[in-house]
Amino acid sequence: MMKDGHAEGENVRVLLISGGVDSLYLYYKYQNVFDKLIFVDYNQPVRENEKKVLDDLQIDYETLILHGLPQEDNGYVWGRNIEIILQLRKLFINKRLVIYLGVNAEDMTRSNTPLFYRKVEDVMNESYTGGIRIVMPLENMNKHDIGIELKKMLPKKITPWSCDVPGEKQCGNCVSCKQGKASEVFNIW
Amino acid sequence: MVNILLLSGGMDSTLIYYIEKNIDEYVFFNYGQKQLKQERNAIKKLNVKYKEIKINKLNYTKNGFIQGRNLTFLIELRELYIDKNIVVFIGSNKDDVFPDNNTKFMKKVESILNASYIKNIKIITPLSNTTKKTISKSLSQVENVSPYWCYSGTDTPCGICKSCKELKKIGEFKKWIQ
Repeated sequence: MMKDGHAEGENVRVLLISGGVDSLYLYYKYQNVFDKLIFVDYNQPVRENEKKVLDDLQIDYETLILHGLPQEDNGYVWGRNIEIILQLRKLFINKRLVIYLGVNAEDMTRSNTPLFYRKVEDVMNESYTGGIRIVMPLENMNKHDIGIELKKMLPKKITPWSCDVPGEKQCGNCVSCKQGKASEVFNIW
Repeated sequence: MVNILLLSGGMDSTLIYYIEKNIDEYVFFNYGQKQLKQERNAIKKLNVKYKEIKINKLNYTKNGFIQGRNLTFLIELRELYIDKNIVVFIGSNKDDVFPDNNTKFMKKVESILNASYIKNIKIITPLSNTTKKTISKSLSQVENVSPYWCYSGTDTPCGICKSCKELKKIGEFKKWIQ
């Protein structure tokens, strides 16, 4: 189980890291900023693929387990993002919590946009003491540019995992792969 | 669609109980509050069938603010009725000072939950424009009603907690403990 380990009132800077293009870019770009790197296990079918990327890169992360959320056939998990922020808020209660998210300019899911997270930040600050900021450094960057920049920093043998289907290789046909193709990030690797 | 009233045994939700006639489910949260027994007793006097939902203990701050209370309740309700559109009635009043207990807050939570889940949620605060004094006066006209508002968990309200002091300030304390 994940532990807090920080004194009351202390800043805790957390990066949510998944093994995908956006969060890996944040990891390399702002490596010395974070106090904690957290991988969320919400029972996603590709969690082992995602973790393998982080393990291959020897990234020292902790796991937040968030099982039991209802999942649709298309992979959408109801309530995932609000639950993640809520669990982090409770885990680091009374701390000045800064959460870095890899939301980019092309993210369209209603519960994964800057506007959504600003509302979440508001209601968390109105519900809890300590203070929380949700920072989205990539909100004005498109996926392709993020991919190009990450490619320069990432070891050559590593490919970020952005597919919804578990397996040896990324399928190229799922929603995430199709989005990757549309934003021309798929072919960078 | 399910109409849900969040009962606490306090004056606001008790008054809504008498006003709103189209409620399908009554829900009470056990979050490790000191006044759990007294709140339960107040609800039992309403003679209504209700669900009690136990959640992890919530943190109190020194001024009596309960961290994450309304947000946690609303997310819990959303997940409890995951496959249904729900309307949640909450007893927030015009004099409420805590930042998570006003219409603006509720609208933001509504928007967040509607973006996060497939089914809809609507949060209604019927008393948001009503003062505590008016609520207390209206409720005192109902026979055999005995709400519990005190944070201390004593059978007779303590008279010194924030909630008791607020009632004293508006001259509505004494009539409820006689």
